[in-house]
Amino acid sequence: MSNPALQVYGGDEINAIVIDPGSFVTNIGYSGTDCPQSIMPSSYGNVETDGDTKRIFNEQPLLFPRAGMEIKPIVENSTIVDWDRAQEQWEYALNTDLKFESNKGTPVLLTEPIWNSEASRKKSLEILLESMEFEACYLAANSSAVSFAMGRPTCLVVDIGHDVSTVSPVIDGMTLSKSSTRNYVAGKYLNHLIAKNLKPREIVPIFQVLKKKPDFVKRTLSFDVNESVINFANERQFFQEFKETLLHIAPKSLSSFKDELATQTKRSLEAPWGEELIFDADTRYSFAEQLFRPVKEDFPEGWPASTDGIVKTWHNDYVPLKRTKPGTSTNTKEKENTAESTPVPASTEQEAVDSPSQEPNENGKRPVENKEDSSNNEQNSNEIKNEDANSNESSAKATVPSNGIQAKGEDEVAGIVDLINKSMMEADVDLRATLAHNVVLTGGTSKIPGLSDRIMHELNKSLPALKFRMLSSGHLRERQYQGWLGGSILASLGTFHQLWVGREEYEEVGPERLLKDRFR
Amino acid sequence: MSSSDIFDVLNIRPKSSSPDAEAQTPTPSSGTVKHNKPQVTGIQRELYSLLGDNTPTVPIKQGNKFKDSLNSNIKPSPWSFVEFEANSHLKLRHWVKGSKELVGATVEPSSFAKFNQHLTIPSFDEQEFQQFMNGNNSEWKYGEVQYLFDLCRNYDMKWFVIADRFNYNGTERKLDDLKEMFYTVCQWYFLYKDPDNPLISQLNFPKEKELERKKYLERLLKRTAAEIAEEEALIIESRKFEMAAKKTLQEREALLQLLDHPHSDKPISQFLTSQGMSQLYANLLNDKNRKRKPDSNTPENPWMKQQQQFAQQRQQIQHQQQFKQGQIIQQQQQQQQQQQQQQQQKQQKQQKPQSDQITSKDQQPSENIEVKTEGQRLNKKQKIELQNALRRKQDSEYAEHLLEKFTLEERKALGVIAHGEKLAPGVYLRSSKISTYKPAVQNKIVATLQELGLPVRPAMPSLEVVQEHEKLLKKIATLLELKKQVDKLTAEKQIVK
Repeated sequence: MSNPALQVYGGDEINAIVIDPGSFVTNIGYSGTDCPQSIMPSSYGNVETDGDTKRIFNEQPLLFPRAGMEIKPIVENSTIVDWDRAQEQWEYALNTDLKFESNKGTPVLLTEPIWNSEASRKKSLEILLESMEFEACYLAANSSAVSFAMGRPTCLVVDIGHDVSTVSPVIDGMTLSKSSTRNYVAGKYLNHLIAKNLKPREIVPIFQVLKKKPDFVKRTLSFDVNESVINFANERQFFQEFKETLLHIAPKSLSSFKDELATQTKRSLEAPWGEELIFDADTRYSFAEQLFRPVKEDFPEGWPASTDGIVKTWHNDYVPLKRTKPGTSTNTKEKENTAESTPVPASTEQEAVDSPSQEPNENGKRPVENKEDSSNNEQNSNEIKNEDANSNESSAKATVPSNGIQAKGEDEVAGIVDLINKSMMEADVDLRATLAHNVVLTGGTSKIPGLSDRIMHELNKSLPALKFRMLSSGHLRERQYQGWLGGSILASLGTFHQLWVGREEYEEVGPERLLKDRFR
Repeated sequence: MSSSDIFDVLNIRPKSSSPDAEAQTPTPSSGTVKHNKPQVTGIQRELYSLLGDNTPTVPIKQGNKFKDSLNSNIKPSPWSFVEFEANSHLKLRHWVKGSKELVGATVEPSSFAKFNQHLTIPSFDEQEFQQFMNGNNSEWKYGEVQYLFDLCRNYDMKWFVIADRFNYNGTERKLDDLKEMFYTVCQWYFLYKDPDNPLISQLNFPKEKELERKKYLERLLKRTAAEIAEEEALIIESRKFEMAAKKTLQEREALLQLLDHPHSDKPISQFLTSQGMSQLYANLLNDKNRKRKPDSNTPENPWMKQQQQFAQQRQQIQHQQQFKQGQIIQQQQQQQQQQQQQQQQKQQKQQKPQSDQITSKDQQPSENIEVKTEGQRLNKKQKIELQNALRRKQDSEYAEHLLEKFTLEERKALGVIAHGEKLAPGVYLRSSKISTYKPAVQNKIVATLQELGLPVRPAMPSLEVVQEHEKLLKKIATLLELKKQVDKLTAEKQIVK
């Protein structure tokens, strides 16, 4: 650093790349800039024509139907499910949008969810350092990155995204894994609810519309359009617009807010098929209400639903020592010879690599069990829950159980406030006051108006002794790439230099030790 | 006259050194204002400068200028993308000011490396561990302790993070257990290695106390909304009490100070003179004004109160009557009243000639005011006047009432008089209150008095003497006035003739 004036800011430009794969979009850009240069959907189009396969990553061409095109996901629930395509997508973005010819000499920062599996982390190191030939890399937890973007090293990050809603406490820029919680009630679930509400209708994407007026005429294409293409187009066009224009969240529980809603005027939205969809306030508010009180009957078949929102994270991945394979033992010995030897439980690297596709599912999704058995109870429990909600509203003295979490039946699904509650209670007592005072709200779905007030209201009701303060970026669009923004800030800091993990070190030490020691 | 003019006179040019050149070229230093001025010489120039350079009444924004166009002649300072040592394992490139030859020669360590500071945490091997622990630790094996110490080193003793990451062969431990273990091991370590270290006593971690504290904190955070509200209400209540206590203390202090004044043990000689007395009075008055706010509820005068009530009742009755009867009757009544009043006045005059003037004066305005009230058209000033008049009237009535029991002789002997005037506070001499007139009239009066062989001021200004003197003065004044008018008229008459 030659210029002393710059040292105050502490930045040091090293031309790093920041990659933030999310459930909805993947953001890629130069570090030190304030918005990602390349924003791509986290899916790809596979076009097969006469045995020739072509892949599409950009959003616009994906919205245009082609013969033999199928759209497949790259990221699901914030974890990368298709590593080969992910690499291809990143390379494509780097070449076309960021104009990179070679990654040599460039460091890269990748954000990851807190529940990223060991195998997935190893894979990302392998892809970044070996296949893509980056000079150095770093894996940062998404919540940590958000905390940096907000400039609050200690905060409770509430991230309501497309696939998942996460609540994780961040202490001094490090995400606590044991008290992180999440559920699968987020933007995608809202899409499902909206589709369910419009049920008898077929949701027609714009490319299938030939004429809206005077009568709707559907365009017939000469080829079969894959369902995934239709879904993709709907998700990014109709549902997006629907959510942006119609959704709202009541300042208190919907059942007690009904009277005030009755006086509100109806709102309408013109569907791509020309129909004027009219919604009264009650229906409009009921969609996003499920972020707080998910109704289990509304969950589609096989939708992951967790009652407690507990997350299994990489820090808690315990692999017993016994299962060490002879192949890895040499590695551990080498490690023990180094100065900072740690008796890390040598995990079964090979086993994990063998079944990479299973791991995230095991850790992430919790399939609904005993669906048939519980169907009878659902009705009852739901009624009880409504009563609970009413009684909570009516009496100021909400009955708070000993652990501070509202009593939930076995079949209940945790809403976002339950997640926050749970996360708060899991965290150390000394931390609660600080966390409560720094609740950071982020994620695309958090832009629904009224969300912040409602969370505040519910939190004040359930934990009256704590003083809550909601923080969120005033720049609405920024909430959709706040993880990337935090990464961009981190990677451009001069003090971050020491944390980069270089290729040499990777080859020397091996991913096993690196993941334990270098990435916090 | 501005600084530029002085420079102009003294032939000082900030940039161009030759004075000859200035006549043709406008000075570059005087900026944009002079830039547009036409060139003028001689007297014209001086005239012109009267207009020029004066600050305009309306501020004119001068900064509205476009950015300087890029000066391509200036050589750009070189920046180079140079390799540096990011950390011990890695070399990266960053942008540094300076040409490549100058900066890029050596691979320098990152300038931020100095911020990479870690805590020094004791390290030991298993043998050492067994030695200094002396078998004091049964639960924890060496491996786990080592793991804990590594975590502490890695996370710089951030205990929340350490407790979160701690996962030794599947066993998870509570934060306080970890802390306790760490500090006991450290204590044993230092006792073994460096028994004189003064820090050893500080490495004590009272786990029970810590747990108790957390329990209390947890309970504190688990209060219900009602409990919190109650607590707040209590706090407000206690604040009120505190305030009240403070106030009473203050008041007591003020009282004590009042009692202290003057100090009883000190000699009183200084207060014996009239000056000292008035000083003391002023002091006391000041104290009263400053320390204690004047008590609004001064003891009520029962007689005054009664009087007021009567007056009100009378007014009401009058109003009622007025409403009932027509205007004629009203007028009659007024006449009657006036007659009555006149009779009263006469009686009063007979009874107490001292106060007659004043009372009649008082009554007249009050009557006027009563007439005005009928019209119901009163502005603020009038209202105040009315109130004052009423009060004065009441006061005089009150005074008369007090004096009722004295006979005329007694009054004279005692020198007591009732007067409705508002008197200025303080003591004064009666002779100083003898009325004076306009200087011209006064001179004439003095001359007349001298003619009559009387002194200007009565030699013995007793009450009666002064009153008589006043009458005399008044008569002289009226006579003088009459004489003046007569003179004037005779003069006019002569002119007309």
